[in-house]
Amino acid sequence: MAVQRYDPFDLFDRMSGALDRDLSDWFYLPDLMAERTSGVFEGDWSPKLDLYEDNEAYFIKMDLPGIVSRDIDVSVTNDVLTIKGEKKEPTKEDPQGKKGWEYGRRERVYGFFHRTVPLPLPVEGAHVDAKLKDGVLYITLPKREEIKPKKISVSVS
Amino acid sequence: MADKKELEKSKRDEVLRKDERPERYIRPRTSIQENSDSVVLVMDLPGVSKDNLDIQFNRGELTIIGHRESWDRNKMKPCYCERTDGSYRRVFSLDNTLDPGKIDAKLTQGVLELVIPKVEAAKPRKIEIKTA
Repeated sequence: MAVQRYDPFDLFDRMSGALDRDLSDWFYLPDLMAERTSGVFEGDWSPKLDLYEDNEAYFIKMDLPGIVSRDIDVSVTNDVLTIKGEKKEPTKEDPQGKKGWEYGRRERVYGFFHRTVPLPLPVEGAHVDAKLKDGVLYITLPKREEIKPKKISVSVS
Repeated sequence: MADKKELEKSKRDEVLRKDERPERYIRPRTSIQENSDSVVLVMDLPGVSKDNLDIQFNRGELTIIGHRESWDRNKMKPCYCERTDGSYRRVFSLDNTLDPGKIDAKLTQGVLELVIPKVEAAKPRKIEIKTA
């Protein structure tokens, strides 16, 4: 069964869509808009992920826009996957190297994240593959031989 | 007579197509910065490659649409879902202080940076004071 995480800001996000209409009417959006979760996850923010499976492996997609691979740390122990890292705020606050940039609107979030994902079953830790493409982290976790479904042939006596 | 029927049919099809258009888009998180020369929009579009990004300017509106790969639910089954499958879309109205002809777009690691320069007339000018 698929589990959907409750996102209290999703509705707010959609409601404020009407505010996109006019660039001249900016206002500062507080961190309310940011992806912040408390308690369950450590870190400043919590990037979203999906976990899918087929007979051979588990697959994860995690949205990590603007993060370089050296700032991501993935580790796995038996049936727990840990992904942590940092989304660094650009040091050049001024995108073109000019002075005097001001924020009109700030929705993107920065900072540390740390997520622990319990896997339904233990995986083959040595063969886990992780790659980063277009700001999405793809992780493939092969299932252990003993838990893969096996086809049993029925012989006729 | 046949032409008229044909026309009516095509009109009907058009209306139908409009109704069937998928309207479920994700609104990408965007930060907007401004200085005296230009306005910069920085947008998170994870999973969107350069080929799947469409930026259009039409009648004062800047539309950004980005498509991304969805999970193949025929081959895999979901265990845990937090992300929303689907495309990104966001529309911004540009007023006449901005120059849509010189928009510069750059996409790196799922982050789109749009630099929109201001028109000369809208830039702040320092007024020299002459001494008599």
